[in-house]
Amino acid sequence: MNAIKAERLSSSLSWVIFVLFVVVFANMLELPRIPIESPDKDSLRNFHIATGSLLFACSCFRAYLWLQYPPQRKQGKLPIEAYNQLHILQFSLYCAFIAQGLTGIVTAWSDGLMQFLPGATTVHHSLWVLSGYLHSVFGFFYIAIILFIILTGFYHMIRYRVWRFSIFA
Amino acid sequence: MPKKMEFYLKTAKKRHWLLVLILFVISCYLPYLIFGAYPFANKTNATPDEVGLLTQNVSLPDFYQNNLDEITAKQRKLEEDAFTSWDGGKCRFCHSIKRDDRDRMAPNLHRILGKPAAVSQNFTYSSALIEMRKNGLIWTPETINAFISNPENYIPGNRMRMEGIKDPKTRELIINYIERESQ
Repeated sequence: MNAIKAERLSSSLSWVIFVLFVVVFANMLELPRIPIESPDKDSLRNFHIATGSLLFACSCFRAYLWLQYPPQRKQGKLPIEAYNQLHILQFSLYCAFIAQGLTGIVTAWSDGLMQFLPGATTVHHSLWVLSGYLHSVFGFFYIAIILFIILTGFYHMIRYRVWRFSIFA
Repeated sequence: MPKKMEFYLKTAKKRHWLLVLILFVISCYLPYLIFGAYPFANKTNATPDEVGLLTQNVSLPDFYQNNLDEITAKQRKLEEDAFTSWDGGKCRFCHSIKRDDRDRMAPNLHRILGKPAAVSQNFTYSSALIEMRKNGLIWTPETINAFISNPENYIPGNRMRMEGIKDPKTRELIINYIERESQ
């Protein structure tokens, strides 16, 4: 794959990840409001696991492309220092999605929701508590990163007159 | 990796990563701060013998021998909604109640009435609640009512992050539901 193809693929993948992120985020906001015993809860939770897994897989691929074909500085007005900061925040966002996916898989597995071996008991309360906590940590982490990417973008607009920025690179 | 491409992760300085690290450290604290969650659940709080000692000199009714009034399906639904729904007490989002339910983010409440505070296994209680156990707090309809009306006021420093259920009728429905589910 050459750099141009990789850039196109990366850009498309970023949009897919953005859409998936919005869907998972909306689902995450709705999920706690549904009583646990209700059938809707199961549907929403299964949907969360499915879309979350997809987001995890796409983020892994996006991070791989990032490392193989790092995004280049297209804005000449933006100093290298400023670009570095934005670049690290954006790369960290994909790392947060990957970590979020991994902890989510462990949480679901230790809650008995995902069974790779039929009939095997996978319920593990301590692991569920720990991975659930970390799943929440990475949730807050990516929200904080997105917030700072937006703030950094506004700062670049004011300071360097760079009028275009993207959250997902 | 293509050599002509600039690899910004390598040219970045420590201070560029520092912001990410700070954000991560803050994020590690937020589930505890906002939800009262705790990452470990392996703290054993009281042995059955200790629980027996805590209640041996206390005269309590047997909450589970009481023959509760028969209620209509509508009334039962009201009790369940008060316990489970987002508009009610939101209890079910952290607590399980059925006999065979697993502990969730907070301890199972099956047969909680008549138990001393902070004695469930598999749950790391706040120091505040453990202190209340040592001071002799036992869960009864009255103490639960006082606790859920304003948790932070009743036990300052506890980890149940909710502002309290102001409506006395909702609190009554919740306590009835706990009692009924524990029969």
